[in-house]
Amino acid sequence: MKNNEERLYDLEDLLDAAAGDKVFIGKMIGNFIAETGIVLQKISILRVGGDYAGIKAVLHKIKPTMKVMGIATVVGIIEEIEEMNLLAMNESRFSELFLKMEKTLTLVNEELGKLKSISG
Amino acid sequence: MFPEKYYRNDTLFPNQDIMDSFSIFIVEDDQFYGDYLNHFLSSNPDYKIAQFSLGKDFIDKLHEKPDVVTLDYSLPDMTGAVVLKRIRQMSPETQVIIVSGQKDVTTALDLIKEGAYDYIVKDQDTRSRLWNVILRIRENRTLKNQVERLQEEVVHKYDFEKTIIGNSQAIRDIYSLIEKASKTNINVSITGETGTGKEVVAKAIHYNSVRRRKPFVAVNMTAFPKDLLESELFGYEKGAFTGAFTRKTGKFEEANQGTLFLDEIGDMDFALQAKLLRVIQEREVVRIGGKDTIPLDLKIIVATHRDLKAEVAKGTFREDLFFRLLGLPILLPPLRDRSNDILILAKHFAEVFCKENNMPAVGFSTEASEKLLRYPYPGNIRELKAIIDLAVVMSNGKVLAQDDIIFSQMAQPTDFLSAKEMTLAEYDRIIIKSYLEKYNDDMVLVADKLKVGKSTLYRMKQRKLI
Repeated sequence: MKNNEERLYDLEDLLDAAAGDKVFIGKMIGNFIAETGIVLQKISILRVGGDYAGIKAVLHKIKPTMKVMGIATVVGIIEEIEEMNLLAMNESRFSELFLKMEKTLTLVNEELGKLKSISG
Repeated sequence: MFPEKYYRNDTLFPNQDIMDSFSIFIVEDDQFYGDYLNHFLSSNPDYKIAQFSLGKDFIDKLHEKPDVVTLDYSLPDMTGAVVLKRIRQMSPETQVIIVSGQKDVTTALDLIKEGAYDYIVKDQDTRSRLWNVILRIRENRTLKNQVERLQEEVVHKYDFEKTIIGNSQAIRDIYSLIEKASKTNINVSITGETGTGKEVVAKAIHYNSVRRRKPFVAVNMTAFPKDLLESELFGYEKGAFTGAFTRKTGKFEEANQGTLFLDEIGDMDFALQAKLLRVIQEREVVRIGGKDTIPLDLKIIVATHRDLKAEVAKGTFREDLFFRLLGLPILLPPLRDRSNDILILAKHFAEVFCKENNMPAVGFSTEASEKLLRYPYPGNIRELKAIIDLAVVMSNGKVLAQDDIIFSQMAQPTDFLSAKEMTLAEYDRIIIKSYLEKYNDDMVLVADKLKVGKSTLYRMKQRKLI
């Protein structure tokens, strides 16, 4: 059994909330894929402007969604960025975390996309 | 599944109220999370859900006065604190649950101080916590509705023309006095024999006054030993005396804003009367062992079966207290002095008893009515009610017969002169019937006792006059 750190995502919470409603699960996966694309774009734009407070706010907003989708890696990244000092931002660490988050979410979206197409 | 499991908890409350429609507004700008909460809460078919992603859109719909709002703290157009303030102003009955990603305790406390019902952090337990909090709000709402309905029922119940039954002049005079007593804050003193309905009158005054939604607290002076009565009335502070382990609120405080009914005031200990006088004069009370004075705003109604004036003359009741308490005096006549009301009351009690016990309505035979009118009722209305309740139980038909009317041994039905007016022949029949009852239908013995001819009695019997 893989632990949460190793798993890309865990839909247990979403499935439980769905109570067997497959249409709802499909809709939520679709929403998630669309939302994460927008979020990553937003963060990229904010990075260019050096708006780390803005980035933190966006990440803070999507954290509950990441928890519902069981994407523990991204939740951990967000929490680390939330802890970072805005006045003395460690740019290299931030880049590293952002890349990891981007990569993870891309992988998750790919996997979920497959899952969605299989389930219809 | 999780929601189903939690939904089943609702069925623990079979009351119809809990099944009423219950509206929940979700204010959440994260579409994914809003949909997630919406779907989950919709698993309860009683919940009518609406979802908003902007504070402004939500406020535009706030006039619909939802039962519950789940509110995200950070919205794109305004903060949760601002939205909360608007909810408190526009729909104070709405309960607000903050559902936020912020774990900051200070923010949570500030929002709860501002009137939020609860603060839930978005994490793995959000759904179960939210479900339970909403369930709790519904229970509280149901209880509140029930209390309001019961208050209405009580007010209706003590509509005095429905509770104080009768058509005699004495009762009409009492209606008038109750009305006067209800309209002002004057103290009221009710006197009357036991069972004449002193507490019913006190309640009628309270529930027809402006204090009707505040407490009615009744204390019987004879129900407590002297020392205990003082602590019951005044309350006490923790450690005031041995055994005072916690602070106790007294009856004066309990009745604050409402009415305090002091029954059997004529039996109150003389020393305690001075303390009562002080409370009435100063309109404030100090708990035993306490220092703080508690201001009082209450109506005081006292009742006694004693003649207080006579008690004052004997020196057992303080004169100053007597005049303080006298206020508007209401004298309740004994039932034997309002014999016109006996049958009206009897029919009323029979009707109520049958209704309460899901029994068909009963009527009264002429003999039963006559028997009721002949009795002096030393226990007054209370006794009449007990007699009627028993008669309905004993009866085998739709009409109460003479034998169904069973009097206690306290009094015999002889004081019929104070009952309804009758002809001499009717009085004769009542006397003879009474003797026949007493001597087991022994006609010879009864004829001898009444010094009438046996043939007279047999003739009456043949004609079914007795």
